[in-house]
Amino acid sequence: MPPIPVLLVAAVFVAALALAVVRPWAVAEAWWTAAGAVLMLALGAVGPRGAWLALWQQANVFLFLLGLMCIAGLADAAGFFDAAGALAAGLARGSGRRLLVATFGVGALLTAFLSNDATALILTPVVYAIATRLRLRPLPYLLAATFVADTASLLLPVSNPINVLVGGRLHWALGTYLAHLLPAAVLVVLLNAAIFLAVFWRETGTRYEVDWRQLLAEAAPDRWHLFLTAAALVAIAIAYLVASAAGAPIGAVGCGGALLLALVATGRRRLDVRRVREHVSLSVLLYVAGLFVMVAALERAGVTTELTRLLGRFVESGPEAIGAGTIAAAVGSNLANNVPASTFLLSGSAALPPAAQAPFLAGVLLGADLGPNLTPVGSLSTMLWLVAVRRRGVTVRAGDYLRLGAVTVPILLLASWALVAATYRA
Amino acid sequence: MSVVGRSAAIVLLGVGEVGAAELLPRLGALLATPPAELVLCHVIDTGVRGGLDLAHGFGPHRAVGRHRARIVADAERVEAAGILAEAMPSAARIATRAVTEVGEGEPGRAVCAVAAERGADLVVVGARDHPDDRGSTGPHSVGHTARFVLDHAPCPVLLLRAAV
Repeated sequence: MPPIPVLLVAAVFVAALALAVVRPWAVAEAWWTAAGAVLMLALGAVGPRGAWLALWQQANVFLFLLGLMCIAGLADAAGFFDAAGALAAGLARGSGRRLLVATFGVGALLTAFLSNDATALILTPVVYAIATRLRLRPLPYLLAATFVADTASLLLPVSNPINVLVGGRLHWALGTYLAHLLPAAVLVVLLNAAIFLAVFWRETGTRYEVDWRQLLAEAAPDRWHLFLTAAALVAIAIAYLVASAAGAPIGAVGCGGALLLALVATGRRRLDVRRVREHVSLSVLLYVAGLFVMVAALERAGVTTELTRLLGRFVESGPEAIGAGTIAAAVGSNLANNVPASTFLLSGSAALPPAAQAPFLAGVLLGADLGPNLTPVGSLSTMLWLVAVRRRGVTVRAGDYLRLGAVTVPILLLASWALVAATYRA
Repeated sequence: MSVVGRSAAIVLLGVGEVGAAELLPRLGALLATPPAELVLCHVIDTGVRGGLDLAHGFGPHRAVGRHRARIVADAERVEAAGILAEAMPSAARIATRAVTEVGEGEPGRAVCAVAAERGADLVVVGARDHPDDRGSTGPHSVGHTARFVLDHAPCPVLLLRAAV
């Protein structure tokens, strides 16, 4: 078979990603990356065995994704997130500003153990609804929940599927992960909360009245279901930590946890499959699968290693390696999505000198976890192309978000880089 | 001092998040005679709800689930009902008849649509929901909702600035 021109392979990859961002005819991203993968297979850029191997090697990631989506859906059906929102409203004791901080606190805790997916997609509307009901301006709280989902996703290896993806190459023990990343992870959450408190100081200055016990009762009509679910979630959290420490596949733990929660729901006769299914999206799995195959093709063509070697030329020390990874991942996350960006850089990191690989990947974690808040690419492109240009109200929100991201994210990236670099110098 | 000499039959008052507590007494003072009908119109700004679209989970973009979307819409309706219920007593004092209307969408556009629908003789809007330190006059003193209504209302518009 004639060698496939490298440019063609790269072009298919870029086209697939661009189409996934723009989403013409509202076709979901998963179909574009899957089409790209099929095209790569058809062109012979990657063989069927190579494609299968690329998927099989990441089985842990797929299991983890499936597990976390099911866990989030089951916890939501039990009223766990509504209860968390009610708790935040109660903790803040009537102060709009304290509620903003509480949103960060509760959001960080949920992200740490249930991943950014759950916080962004479930807690955010909960917080929005609560703020609206309390007659507060909802935008600061909506943005707080949106941002904390990503900012707090550095805390633990399970807080972001990207951490699991990159962690598969890093093979860090839990202790190593925490030693390098926990200080930075905690700092960025505090910084993010502080920045938002300053930016929204006036808007959140109102007081509110709430009977949080009433909100809690509304959140969970079946208190035993909520209680058992919470207990099961604590058990899952502990299992995650133990599995991370022991190096066991956490994808399996995730699926086991989902099963446990489903058993709890069935035991209380409150298994609402339809509501759980709303949160389990198979198109995520297809999207990721398509990307893995395409990146395998790129790797075979040498694209990922060449580009990363180019980067590697500027890298002479640990901190510089971290910086390179951070910037590359942050830029890639905003151009396309943090999944293709981190998969690409992960594949290319093999081309770097061995000593630079771990710090580089640590930097990739920073860029991929924190970077996406800079520009809301996926949703922004949709809004811009379809609706927002005409509806000024929505455009204003996008502008607000962009300004906020443009201010917050660079600060967080710089601060986290500094702390992680310090752990490498020591 | 009364500004509007002829009695306006139908007056539409756009009520924002802050509510009408400040606007209603001043409106009553400005109208020569109580209007036949005062419509309190609150618009649920769906642009803010559109910000939920900005929250991104892992990987491809996923919309908020149907169940969640319903809860969000319910919360917005509860807030709207609360705002209007608070304004009703003051409204009943300055008009012969006071009714409420809840709209959805972009506030300026919705207010103009309701005004056209009801054949309002006068639309009243506050300059800003929350007057900020940029002052009560000048280009930033009028918010984008009031500006849109000024540009597009099908009838005369009364702009109430922040009480100095």
